[in-house]
Amino acid sequence: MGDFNEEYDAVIVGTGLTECILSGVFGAEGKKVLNIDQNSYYGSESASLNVMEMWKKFRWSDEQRRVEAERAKAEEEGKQVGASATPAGPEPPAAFGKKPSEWNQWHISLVPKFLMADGELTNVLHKTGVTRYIDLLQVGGSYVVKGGVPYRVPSTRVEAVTSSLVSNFQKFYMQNFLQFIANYKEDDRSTHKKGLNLDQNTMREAYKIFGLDAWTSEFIGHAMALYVDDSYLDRPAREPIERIILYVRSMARFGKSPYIFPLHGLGELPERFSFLSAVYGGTYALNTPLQEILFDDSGVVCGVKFPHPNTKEVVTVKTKKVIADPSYFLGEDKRIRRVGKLIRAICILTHPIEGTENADSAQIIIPASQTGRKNDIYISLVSSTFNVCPKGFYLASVSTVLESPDSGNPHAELEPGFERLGLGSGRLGRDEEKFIQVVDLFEPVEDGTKDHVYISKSYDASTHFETCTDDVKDIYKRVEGKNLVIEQRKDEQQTDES
Amino acid sequence: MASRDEAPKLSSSVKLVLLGEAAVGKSSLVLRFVNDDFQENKEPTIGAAFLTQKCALPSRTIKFEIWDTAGQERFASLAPMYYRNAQTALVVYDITKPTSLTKAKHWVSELQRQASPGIVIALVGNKLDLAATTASDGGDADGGDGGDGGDAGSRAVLTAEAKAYADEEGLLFYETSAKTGENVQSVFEAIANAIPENTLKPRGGAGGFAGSGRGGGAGGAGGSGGEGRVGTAVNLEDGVGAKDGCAC
Repeated sequence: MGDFNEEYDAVIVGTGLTECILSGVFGAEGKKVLNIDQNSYYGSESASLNVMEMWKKFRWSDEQRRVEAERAKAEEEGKQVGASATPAGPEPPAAFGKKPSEWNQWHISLVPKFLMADGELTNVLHKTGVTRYIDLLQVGGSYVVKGGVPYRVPSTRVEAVTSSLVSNFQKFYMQNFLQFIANYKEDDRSTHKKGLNLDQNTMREAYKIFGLDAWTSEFIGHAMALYVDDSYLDRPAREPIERIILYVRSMARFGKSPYIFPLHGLGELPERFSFLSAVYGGTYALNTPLQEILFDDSGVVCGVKFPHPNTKEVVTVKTKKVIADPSYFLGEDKRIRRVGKLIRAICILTHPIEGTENADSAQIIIPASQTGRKNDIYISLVSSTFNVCPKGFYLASVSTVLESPDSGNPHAELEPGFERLGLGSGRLGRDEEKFIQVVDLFEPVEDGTKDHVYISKSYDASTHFETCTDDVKDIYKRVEGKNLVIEQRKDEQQTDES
Repeated sequence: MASRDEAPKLSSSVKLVLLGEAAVGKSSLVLRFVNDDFQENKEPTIGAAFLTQKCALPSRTIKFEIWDTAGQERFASLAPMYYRNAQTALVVYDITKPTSLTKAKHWVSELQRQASPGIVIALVGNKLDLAATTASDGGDADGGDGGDGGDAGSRAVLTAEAKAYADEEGLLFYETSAKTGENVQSVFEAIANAIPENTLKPRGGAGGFAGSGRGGGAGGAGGSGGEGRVGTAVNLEDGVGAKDGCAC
């Protein structure tokens, strides 16, 4: 005891990317922030796990995890258990590593997302100076599947001409559309399309104005605007057009795909932001569940209780604000509501994906229309180039919105994705592995302005983090009552005379 | 191709991480080394993620990129990325506080288990100015008690004990005083000398750890430098605020 502050400006519960960005932002503003997380690792739902942690999460029982936690605690306290002590549950197969240093070569991201090269998260990383400590690499390709074959998504006029994805008849119209996208400036009317009002016309009408047929508009909407279903067609054209602009600009930055991905996996992002926050004086405690939120007489947050990470004695600290991810409110209908269910399969492969020119990384979209579904199936692929697995392995995630949650066979909804990976009909090669998870998506019921408990949203089905940064901005505004402006961080004080 | 703001620097840029219990003087050691300065009652680390300082040797110049924990070690919450790809680690304890040596040993075994192969580890007993001796250069033991000018306690960890442990584990070993500056320069020079030639290369290449140097080096650990949660810890006692919480 005696080592936590008596009072914090905010207690942030969970170390997911949303929470860690906010923590970094508040820290930079000089606020006193305490961050706790029930897990033993950073990142919550947006973590990257090593292969042993994957086994613990997906292959162990609750009882095995509990026994393991006690064992780790004893070891930490210096009771010589030794490195050789057997873990409480099964270890990964030897092909994935035999000891911690080998398990640690794996950084398996739980959320199958990439960063848009020109997106808001990239901007935030840059402004906060986090890019100084993180290496981001380009993702090798962006594909859309048609007739069972992946095609590169064309994003420039030249590509529109050469792409066999676009019919000859459509090439001219596609070129015009991409020209419009490339030139569009909100405040320059000469770049606007005659007859198209982004706020009054729907996207369906916009496609018609550009003469784009059903398939062309389908792949634009799904593989460039990145909508998971077709509900956007009857909404105003502004949002889809902005999303297509983001795609094309992101594409233009590095050339092969609009996506970038951190070396060592997505878990780097929350870790780096947490470090930034710590550099500003933020306090972090892992292995620390939220025990209780305390409220004053008027129903506003006044403190939180949690077991001390080292002594396990209950600690109470004062705070006026609590920001937390939804996993800390499971079963509390007054706090969170379920807005959807996803199914995700993380696959360890020993081969690249057919039809991608053996790309070391890729995003592949199987549009709903190709499989008779309402929602697209996404495949994301990364490999040892990103230091996320040993050489010779590939990490692929297949995910989609679960359309029949009660069917009793959610795996079947991923089947077209598994077929793409060569894992159709339950096939699994030697030294290959699948981790399948049904994920509930939650959002807060209240905006938090009444009781000062601000809850973030789950990481959604999209292929990137734009909705995550939206959530960060939204929470910031609810907490502070003003828009988030991230200041360009001044270069760090360094005695760097070179 | 990649959006890397940080182009490779001098070929002899070396990532050094600091580890050790809170309040043993990790940041003070660095401050002494980098600025030749000392602040009494220094606040816990806030401010910079890392500092750089060159160390010129006859044969080469090593530019240390010195990473401070930013206090994340307090509650066993040091992110794995902290010591990823570190070529050298300074594991610090306080010679007036035996528990801090226990923690230091814990960090050493953590590094040996998790960090890059060939990492050079230096064990440093700090606060030598509080020992009741007019300081030799950290060589042999002198056990003594009784305070000299220092207002606080006295030596509680024998030099010989720590030295024996360091020898056993193949660590560099020094006793230092960040306050007087004694031996601080020597530690960094010794580290600079001990870093295997073949691990000196530009930072941040996409090839990553897979091919990073297998050179000898003290305390060579197994495996490729990757992550791994730091399940271990250091606890209690640091300067921030520090009152028992009791709200509402």
